[in-house]
Amino acid sequence: MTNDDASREHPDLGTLVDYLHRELPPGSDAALLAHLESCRPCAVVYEEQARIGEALRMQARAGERELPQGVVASIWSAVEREGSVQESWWERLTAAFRPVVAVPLLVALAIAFFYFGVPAMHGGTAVARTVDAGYLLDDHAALSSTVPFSESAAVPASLEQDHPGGNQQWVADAGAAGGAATH
Amino acid sequence: MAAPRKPFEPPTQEQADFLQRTIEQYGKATYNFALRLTQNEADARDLTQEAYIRVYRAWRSFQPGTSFLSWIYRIVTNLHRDELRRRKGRYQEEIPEDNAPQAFGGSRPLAVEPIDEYVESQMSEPVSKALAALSPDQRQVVVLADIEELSYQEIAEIAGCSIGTVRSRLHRARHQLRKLIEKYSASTK
Repeated sequence: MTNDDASREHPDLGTLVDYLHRELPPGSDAALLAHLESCRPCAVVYEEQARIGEALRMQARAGERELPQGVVASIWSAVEREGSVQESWWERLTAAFRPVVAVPLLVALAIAFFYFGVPAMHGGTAVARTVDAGYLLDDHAALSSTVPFSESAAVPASLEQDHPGGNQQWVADAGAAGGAATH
Repeated sequence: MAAPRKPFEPPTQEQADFLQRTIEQYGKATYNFALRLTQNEADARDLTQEAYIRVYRAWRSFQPGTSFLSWIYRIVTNLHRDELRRRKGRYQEEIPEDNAPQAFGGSRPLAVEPIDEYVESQMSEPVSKALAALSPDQRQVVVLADIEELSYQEIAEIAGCSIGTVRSRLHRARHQLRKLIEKYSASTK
């Protein structure tokens, strides 16, 4: 709201309340003051709001009480109770097993169990589990080597020289050799 | 989930002196503020007691040079809000919080009946009843703005809201107060 607007237009109740609480910007404040001096209906509303404020303060002053001594005593006894509170054994126990302590402890226990507990369950002595690497290499070589008598298997180079006809000839020869052997 | 228990710390003399001094200087104001918010002596006593226990616990967080009254009012306000939430299950807002323009004002003069005919003593009871009939949020802002005469900025800090919200609550509260005072004044005639 500009100063001119403020002096021409009638302010709403919110603006009057802000003015009453000295919360309007200086320009608007001055413009509203000028408006109130020239506009009786708005001045009446403003005065009414001012009277409500005064009545609130008057009523508050009239109803003002001393702080009951019982409240002060209660505050001090609560404070003393709080200061003298001793933790029970259960609270100490739960504090000792709070996550920051309990988690590393459990991890350590789990590791210890894995290394010492599991072998103990399987015979009572720690058995060294070693892997025969030579066995694994042999096994792998056996699996990856050519399977004889398979139609899709590649013909070993040594046999290819003997049977230039390829796989079928090699298989046929192998079959004939097998048949001869059975007879 | 319960708040983690703070490690046990024995009270210090400095802490006790701080509490003693603040109760002596601001205890009465705190109690009266609590009384205006709650409109109930028993609740005001509980609220004051709890607020000073919080002061005792958090005394180091008070920054010297700042207003202790604003601090303790903020504590009381928060405790009161928590208590209302606890009792009602939720904090009820009777009037929606927004900054929507109100139905009056503008280019038309505000033609209202003044409350001139009521002398101060006659206004006291209707005002008291009207204040009690406001919603907790509205009562809080009226108490802080009109009785404690704090600025909107200070009220916003105490209530934990924006200045715009303070402004809007106060406008609505004042509008509501006027209607309620008229109503209670008419009924006491």
